[in-house]
Amino acid sequence: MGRTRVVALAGNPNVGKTTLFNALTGMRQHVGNWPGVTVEKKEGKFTYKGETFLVVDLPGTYSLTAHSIDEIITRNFLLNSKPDVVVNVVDVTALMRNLYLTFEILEMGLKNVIIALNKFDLAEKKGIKVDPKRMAEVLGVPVVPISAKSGEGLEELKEAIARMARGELKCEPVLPTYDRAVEREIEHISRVLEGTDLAKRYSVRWLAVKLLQRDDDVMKLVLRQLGKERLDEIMGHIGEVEERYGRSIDLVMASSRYEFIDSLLHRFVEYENVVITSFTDQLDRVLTHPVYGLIALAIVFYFVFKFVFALGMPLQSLLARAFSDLGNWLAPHITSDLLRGLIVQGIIGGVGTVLSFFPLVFLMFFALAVLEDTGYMARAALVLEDIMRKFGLSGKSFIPLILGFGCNVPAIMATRSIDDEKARLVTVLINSFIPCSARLSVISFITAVFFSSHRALVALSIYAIAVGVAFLMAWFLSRFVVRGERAPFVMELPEYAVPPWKTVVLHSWERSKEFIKKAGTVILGGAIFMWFLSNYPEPVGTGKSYAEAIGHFLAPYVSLMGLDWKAAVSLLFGVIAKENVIATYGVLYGSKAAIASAMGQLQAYVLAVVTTLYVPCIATMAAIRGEAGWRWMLFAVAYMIAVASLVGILIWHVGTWL
Amino acid sequence: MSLLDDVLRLVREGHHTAAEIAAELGVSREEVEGAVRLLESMGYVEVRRLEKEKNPCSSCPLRKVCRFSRGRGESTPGG
Repeated sequence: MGRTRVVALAGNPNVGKTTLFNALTGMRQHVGNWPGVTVEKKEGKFTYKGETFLVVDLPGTYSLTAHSIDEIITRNFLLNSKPDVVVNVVDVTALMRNLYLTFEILEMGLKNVIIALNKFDLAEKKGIKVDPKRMAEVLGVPVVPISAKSGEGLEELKEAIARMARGELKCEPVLPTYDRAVEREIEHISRVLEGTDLAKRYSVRWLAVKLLQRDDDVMKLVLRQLGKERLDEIMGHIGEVEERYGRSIDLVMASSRYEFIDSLLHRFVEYENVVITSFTDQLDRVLTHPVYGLIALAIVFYFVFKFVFALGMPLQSLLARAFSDLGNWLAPHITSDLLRGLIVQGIIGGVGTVLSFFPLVFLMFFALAVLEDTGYMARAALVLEDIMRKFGLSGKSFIPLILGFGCNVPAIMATRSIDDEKARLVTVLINSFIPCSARLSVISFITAVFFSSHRALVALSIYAIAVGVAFLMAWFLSRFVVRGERAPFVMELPEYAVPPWKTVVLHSWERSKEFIKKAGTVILGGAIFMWFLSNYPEPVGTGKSYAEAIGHFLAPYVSLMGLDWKAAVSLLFGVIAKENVIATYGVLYGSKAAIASAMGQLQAYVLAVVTTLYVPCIATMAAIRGEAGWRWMLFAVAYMIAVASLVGILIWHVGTWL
Repeated sequence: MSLLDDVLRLVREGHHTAAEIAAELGVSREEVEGAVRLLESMGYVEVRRLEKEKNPCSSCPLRKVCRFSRGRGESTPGG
């Protein structure tokens, strides 16, 4: 028996490479990692007419420019491991982009390539008629039409592999030609490299093409071979050619390759004028539209809040009653007044009130996870991004802002992807206005306790105010600090899908369990401290408690927004963690009914908006300090208090006037 | 003008989805996605992906002292 022949499978991502690998090798597979990296390496064997072949499934790539680890692995394997046969899996329904990679492979000087023309069965449905025989003649590469999924054409492919490995099948590929100036430079570099050791290992034309593209790895190879002076001379020439084009030479060459492929395609492909618009594309026309998309966004989020309150409120009431009953049951069993007050009023009153809102928090995360997994969130982000640009924000700001709805801390960290330092600063400074999940519980609490109807609309309006303030501040800061740069971008929109319900529930639980953990730590501590302040040296109501002293000190300021001293104390504690606003009311009033009598709807609305907008929590402050320094952190605290106060005063006065 | 140039021009003009660009050029979305990926690898366009937030605590400056951090005790690959 002869030696085992090595067959490499190369191709774009999602062309059916792995399906072909499985179809060829069956159960004879081994999965490991590529040396030194955590990229999966799949190998498997098949036997054909007594010969054994080892198939290596290379990572899917769009090109071999060596910018990503997948590209490097594929390129190095093809160049250095010298497989006996390279099977380039090509998706017949997207020939242009697939053949781009094909020609990159062929430019390496490989003469053992077979094109496996996959999804051949789908081509006709899409109005694409390919003549594989003609394609093979035009490209100079053997072409085997297959359907990896149904197994059609696999025997022919195995036969072609076996013949190629034995040297019975020829591969004399046609190679892309570039503009005259580029070709002249390729010739010049090729002449310099001919006769060197490098020329024994690699195609000199490929080396020249890669040098023109300023490929780091090839530049290092040439540096070692020719020395710095010669390399500088070559790169100097390349610079001159580039100057003539007025744009980067790699773009000139990539564009030429596309033109070259286009000129070949007409010789073996016929496109019927069949335009298939997928369901995703049709829906996207509405959901990513600048106007309809925004209306859809408002409607979707209205129903999200509607769902959260409709389902969450009965559960919240049940939990609140359970905590209240627990307090009532425990009270007679505790003889010490001090301990009874601490447990019933402080812990159960404070933490219990916060915990009773867990169903709403969970349902909100659930709804958001559903939106994420259906693919809608990416569309919502795109619609918001369009508005952000209008407010002068950097295009790169929108991912950190979207992250802010979960937690502002990682969102502020994510601003590191923004290259422009001033644009980054603006994004850091406005991020804390985006209502995080902690503020969601406060918004839910206030909406649920003080509003008996239109809760979804109330919650949505608070979110809208917060996002509106963030955009206005972005406009203000970017107008006076920096104008956002316009980096061209494309948003990757996933196909719409039915969410995997189990994952959605697990994901929602993962996110919302932090709320319970927090209730058992920071909020518990805050509630106990609040209980202490409201009972010492004398209980609340005597006017001699510490809480009243602090509250009355701040009262003149919050009264401008129609709020009382209790709101002032709750806002003060909310600095540690926003949920402490709820805990404070729980400690001070004890029950939901009592809290509901504490203030009117307008005051409650003001409190919710101010809680959403005023100072960031301690963790977010630390994040701002880490990213922008003390000065900007203090600035953020001061300007957020100022903005929250202004908005609070405005809502109160306009609301009173109305 | 190649498809690559056309795609780059449209992205620069403010078209932000492959479907939009494909409709404009009368080619398939898959072809546009290929061109976009290539332009991304060459550094001409940015492709934005809304990735799921896995662990918000991993980037928090307080994670080492925070009692309820999910990432406490985990070290970075560098150390």
